[in-house]
Amino acid sequence: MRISVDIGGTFTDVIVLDEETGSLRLEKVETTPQNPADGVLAAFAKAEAEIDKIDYFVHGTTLGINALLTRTGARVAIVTTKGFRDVYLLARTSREPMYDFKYRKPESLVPRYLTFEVNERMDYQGNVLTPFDKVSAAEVARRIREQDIESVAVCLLHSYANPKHELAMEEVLSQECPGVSVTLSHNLSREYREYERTSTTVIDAYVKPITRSYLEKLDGELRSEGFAGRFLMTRSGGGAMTLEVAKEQPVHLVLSGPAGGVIGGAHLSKLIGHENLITLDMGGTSLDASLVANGQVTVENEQYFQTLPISIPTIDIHTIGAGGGSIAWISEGGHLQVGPKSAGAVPGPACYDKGGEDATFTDAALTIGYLDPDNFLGGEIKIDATLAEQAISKLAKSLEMSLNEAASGIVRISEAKIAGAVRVISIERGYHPKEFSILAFGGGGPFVGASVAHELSIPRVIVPPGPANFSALGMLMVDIVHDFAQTHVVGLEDVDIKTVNEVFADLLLSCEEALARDGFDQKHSAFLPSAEMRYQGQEHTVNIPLPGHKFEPGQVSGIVEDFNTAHERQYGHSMLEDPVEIVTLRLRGLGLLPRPDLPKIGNGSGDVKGARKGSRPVYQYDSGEHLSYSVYDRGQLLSGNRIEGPAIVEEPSSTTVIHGGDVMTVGEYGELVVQLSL
Amino acid sequence: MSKLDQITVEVIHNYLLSAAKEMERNLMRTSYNTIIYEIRDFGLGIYDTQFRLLAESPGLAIFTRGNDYGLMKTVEFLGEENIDPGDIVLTSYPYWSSAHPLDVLAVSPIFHGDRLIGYTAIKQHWLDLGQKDPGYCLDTTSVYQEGLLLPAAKIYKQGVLNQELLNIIRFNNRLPNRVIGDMNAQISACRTGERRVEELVEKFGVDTYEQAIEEILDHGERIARARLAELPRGTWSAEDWLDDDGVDKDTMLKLKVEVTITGDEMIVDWSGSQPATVGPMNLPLGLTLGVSGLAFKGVTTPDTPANAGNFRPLKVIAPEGEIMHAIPPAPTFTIWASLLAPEVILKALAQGLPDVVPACSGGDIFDVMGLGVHPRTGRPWLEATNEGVGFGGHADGDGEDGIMHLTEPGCRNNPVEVLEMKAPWIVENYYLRQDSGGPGEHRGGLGVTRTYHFLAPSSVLTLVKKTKTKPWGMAGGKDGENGHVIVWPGTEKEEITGAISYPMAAEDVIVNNSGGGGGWGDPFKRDPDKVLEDVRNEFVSLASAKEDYGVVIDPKTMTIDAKATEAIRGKSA
Repeated sequence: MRISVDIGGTFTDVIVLDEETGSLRLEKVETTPQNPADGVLAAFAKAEAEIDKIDYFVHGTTLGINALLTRTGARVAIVTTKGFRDVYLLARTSREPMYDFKYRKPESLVPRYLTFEVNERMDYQGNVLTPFDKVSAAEVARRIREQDIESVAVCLLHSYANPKHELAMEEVLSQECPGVSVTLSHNLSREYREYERTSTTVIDAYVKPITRSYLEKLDGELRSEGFAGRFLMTRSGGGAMTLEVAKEQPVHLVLSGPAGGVIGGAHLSKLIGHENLITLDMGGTSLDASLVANGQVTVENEQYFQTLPISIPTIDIHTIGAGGGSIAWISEGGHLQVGPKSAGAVPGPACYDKGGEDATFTDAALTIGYLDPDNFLGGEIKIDATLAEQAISKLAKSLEMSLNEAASGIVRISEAKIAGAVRVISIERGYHPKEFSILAFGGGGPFVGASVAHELSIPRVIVPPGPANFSALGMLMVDIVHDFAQTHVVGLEDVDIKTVNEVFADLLLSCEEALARDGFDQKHSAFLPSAEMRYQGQEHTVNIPLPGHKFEPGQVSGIVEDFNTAHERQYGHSMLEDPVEIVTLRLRGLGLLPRPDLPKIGNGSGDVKGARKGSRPVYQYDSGEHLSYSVYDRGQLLSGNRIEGPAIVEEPSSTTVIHGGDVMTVGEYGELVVQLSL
Repeated sequence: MSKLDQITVEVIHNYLLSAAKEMERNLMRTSYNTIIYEIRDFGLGIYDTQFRLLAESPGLAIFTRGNDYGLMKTVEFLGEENIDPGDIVLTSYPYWSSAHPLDVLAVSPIFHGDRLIGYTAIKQHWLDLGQKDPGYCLDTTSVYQEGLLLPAAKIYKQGVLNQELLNIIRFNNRLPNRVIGDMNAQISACRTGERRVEELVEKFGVDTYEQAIEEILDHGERIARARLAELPRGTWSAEDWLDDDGVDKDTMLKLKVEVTITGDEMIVDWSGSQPATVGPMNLPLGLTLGVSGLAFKGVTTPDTPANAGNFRPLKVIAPEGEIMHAIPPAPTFTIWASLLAPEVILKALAQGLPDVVPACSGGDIFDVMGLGVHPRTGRPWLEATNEGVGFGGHADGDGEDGIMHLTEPGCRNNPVEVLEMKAPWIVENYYLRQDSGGPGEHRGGLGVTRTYHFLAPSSVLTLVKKTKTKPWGMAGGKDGENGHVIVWPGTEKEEITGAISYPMAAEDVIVNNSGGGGGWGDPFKRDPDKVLEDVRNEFVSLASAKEDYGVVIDPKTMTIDAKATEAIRGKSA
C-alpha cells in the first residue's frame, strides 16, 4: 500500500493506493499551518489508511517556502572568505524594475553583522593561495556561538574547485559550536559564481532547523503508530529523496511544491502513450506550467525564490499569478487587468460569501455559465452566483461594458496570460507546442485547458483522473534521485578523455555511494549522464544527454552534433565552425522503486446518455451570444465514451470544458482526451 | 473602438511584452561576451512603422530610449521602400544610432505578407570595431578615430548573408570571433521578436493589431499625463559637473538644465550647458532625448511598462553643436554626459518635488576593464565589470546599498569567480564602503570597493567621470562620498584618479571605489534605533553616528547612550 500527502496553501491532498485491490482513494483535509504534522495525521485518518500496511509514504511540504515567504526561518550566519563579506548583500547589484530610482532589494535573510570572514583563499583551479587559518576560524566560531546562531552557511571562494577549506571550517564549527547545523556550499553546488552559490547555501541553512524538527517529529509520530515503510520526500529537481537526505539538504524541498504534478505527468505520459506533455496546474492563487518531453521532466539548473537564486537542478516550472482567486481590477489608464493579486482562500472569490468583494476569475467563470453554483466542488462548498455578479457589475460599470462582456473579458485575459506562461516553457525553450498535448489539472486546469490549447494550436488536452489531487497522485510514482555535478571546463577539440572520465568516475562513485546508503543495489539503480556545453566564449550552456558516463573517443563528434542541433532548436541558430566546450559534467542517479499500477476503469459503448445531466447556456466571448453546453457527470463515464463539444464534464473539485467542434474520448485509466478542431 | 476590443488590446499588449522578454533571453543565452550576458550592456525593443516603442525588456535604460531615434534615422536613410523581409540592418554611425560606434544597432523589419508592420531593434556593445585603442577610447577628438562606421548597412538582404560586409567587419576587428558570435546572437534575438510579432498579427489580423497598438500608446500617454498633472507646476534649474573631457584633464564640464512642469507637459531645456567638447564627451541628440525620457519616466510612471505614449508629454530642447547635441565629426566615444544628465534633471526637480525625487546616487557606473593576452591560453582577453553605487535617500526611505546606477537597471556585476577564471588577475576584496552613504533622516546607500591584483602584464581602463564632485544630498540631507580609483595604492606612485587607461605590470594593484548616495532629510531626525542598526552592521561608523547623526553608542554594549544623544541632538535643535 502506498500513500502520498501533499500539503498545499489551503488544502492537504491525500491519496491511498492499494496495489492489491487496485483501489485509489482521494481525500482532502484542511491545511494546518500552525502544526503541519497534525494535518498529515488527519489526512491519514480521513483516508482510513491502515498505517502498518503502508510500504511507501511520499510527502510534499511547503514548510520551507513558507518560512522564506514569512521570513521565519533560522537565525543564520554566513562564513565567507576574508575580504568578501558583502558578496551576499550585494547580490548581482541589478534590479528588474527599470525606472524605479527608489528600488530596494528584498529583505536579506542574513543581516550584515552575522557575516563572518575567515582568512583563507583558493584560486579558480583550486590551488591554495592563502592557507586556511585555524586561528581566524576559531575566532569566527566563537562569535557564532555568542550570537545564538542556529544554522551556518559556509561559502568560500572557488570551493567548487577545491572544497578543502570548507571542510576544514566544518570541522572547526563541529568542535566549537556543537548542535549548530552547518551547510557547505560545495555540497549543494560544484559550480562557479559566488553569489549564486552563497544564496543557495543560505537558503538551505535558513530552512534546515525547522525542516529537520518537523520531519523528525512526523517520522516519530508515524512510527509510534506502527508505520514501518519508507518515508520519502518529493524533490524540486524531480523524483524523491529519503528522509535522511531531506534533513541534510532541505534546499531540495523549497521549490518542490508544484513538482509532484509534473513528475506524475511524466509517468502518466508513458502509460497513456502521449509522451510530450505541457502540464497546466491551476490552483487557487497561481498557475504552474511545465513541460514533459519524451516522457522526461525538463530541468533547469538555476531557479529563483523571489530574486534569490537557487543553483540546484530544478524542474523547469513557470509560475504566474493566475488562479481561481486572481482578482480583476482596472488600471489607472482604464484597462481591465487580472491578477497577480489573489483573494486566496480567505476571503476568497466574492461568490464564496466569506466577505470577499473583489471580482475574481472564479466569479467570472460562474457568471458566464461555465461553473454550476449547485455543484461547485461537488456541492461541498456553497457558492452564491448573485454575489459574483454584483462584484463583476461594479467593474463592468466603470468599463462601460455589459456584465457578460466584463466577465468573459476576465476569463479571456487570464487565458492569454496562461498561454504566455506556456509560451515561456515551450517556445522560448525551443519546443513547438504543436508537438505537445496539454495535461490539465488542479481545480482550474481542466477548465482553461482547451482555450489555452486553441490559442497556441495545441492539438489535444488531457485531463487525468482526479485532476484536483493529481499532484499527490504523481508523488506515488517517484523514483529516488541524486544529482551530482562538477564544473570542468574543457574544449572538445583537444579533449583529454582520460580526465573527463576521471571526473565522471568520481561522480559515479558519489552517486553509487548515495544510492547504496538509500539501500539500492546496482540492479535497482540507473544513471543519466549529461554535459553542460557551449561554444567557446559563450557563457550560458545547453545541457546535452550523453550516451554513457564513460567517454569513448569515437563519440565526440556525435556529441558536438547533438549540441549544435540543440542550440539551433533552442535559439534559432548554431555556429558549426566554432569550437565547442564542456563546462560542467552532470550525473543523475536513480534508485528505482517498483512502479505502481494505476487502476483502469470499465469499458463502455459510445452511448453517454446515462452520464448526461442536462445542459446550460454559456456566454461566448467571440460572438457575444450564449451557446448551450451539454453537461455530463464524469463519475458515470466509461472507457471508450465519446462526447462532442460544446460540453461540460463535472466532477467533485473540477470542471472540464469542451468547446464546439472539439471531441472528447475517455481513455482506459479514465483520462479525458479532448481532440481539438484546429 | 468597440468595448470588447479593450480585452484584445490587453491580450496583444501582454503578448508584445513577452515577445520582448523572449528576445532578451535569446540574446543573453547565446552571446559571447561578458559585457552582454553578465553586464547586460544592451537595450532592445519592439517598434511600429513610425518607430514608436511598443515594448522593451530591461537592459541599459539609456539604450532603449535612444533606439527609436536610431531606428528612425536608419529607415529614413535607406528609404522604407528599400527594406525587404529578411533584411537585418546595422547602424553604428553615432549621430544616428545615438550611442558610440561600438554600440551597434541591429534592426529587423517585421512584415505581414508584403506589408511592413514594424521593427525589432537591439543595440548592444560590440567588443571591437577597429577603434583607435583596444577595448575603449577615452581621448578621441573625432568620430573617425572611433571605429568602423556602419551607416544602415544590410548584413542580411532578404534573408541572405552579405558576406562582403561580414568580411569588412571581420577584417576591421581585433576580436573578430567574439564579435561575430555576439552579432549572430543579436541577429537571432531580433529575428525571435520578428517571428513573435508576425505570429501575433497572423492571429489577430493587421487591422486589429494596428488599432490595438494605437490604444496601447494612448493608454501609456493617459497614465503619464495623469501622473504629471499631480505634480507641482513650476520651473527649476540645476547644474552639475563631469571630471573632464578626456583630452584636457584640467577643465571640468558643465551640464545645465532648466525643467518646467506645466499642466500637461514637462519641458527639459539643456541650453546653457557646455559647448561641444574636444574630447569624446558629446551626446548624439537621440541619446539626449533618451536620457531625458529616463528621468521623466522615473518621476511619472516608473511602475508601468514603457512605451512611446509615456513620453508624449515630454519636450526636450538641446541646441545643435553643444555637448547635448553632437554634430559630425564631434567625438562621442565616452558619452558620459548621458550618465550625469538624468540626475541633473532630478537635481532641478528636487527643488520643487522634494517628496518625489531621490537625492543623487553614487553618480556613475564605475566600470573597470582589463585586457591583454592571457598567459595560459596565448589568446587576447577582455573582461569588465561595472560596480554598484549607493542610491540617494528619498522621502519614503533609505537609498539602496550597492546597486547599479539608475541608467543601467538590468546590468549585473561580474562575479569574482568568473573574472578570475577568465583573466589573469586576483580580486583581493569586494565589499560595501562604510560611511560612504550621505547622512540623512533617510540615509544614502553605500558605495562599493573592489580591488584587482594583476598577475600578468595587461592594460586597465576605468570608466569613471564623476570623481571631483560629491553626490548631493537634499531636504537637509548631507552629500554622499564620491567615488574614485586608486592606482598602485600604498606605493610611491599611488594615484587617486578617475578615468584612466594604463598599462599594468604583474603584481600591480588598482582599487575601484564607487560613490555613495546623498542623504535625504536632517540626519539628526533619523530614528536612533536605525542608526544603531547601521552601526551594528558597520554601514556607519561609531564616529559618524555621533558626528553626523548625533547618536552616541556604547561600543561595548552596543546600546544607545540616550543622555549623551539627547545632549548633542538637543543642543543643535
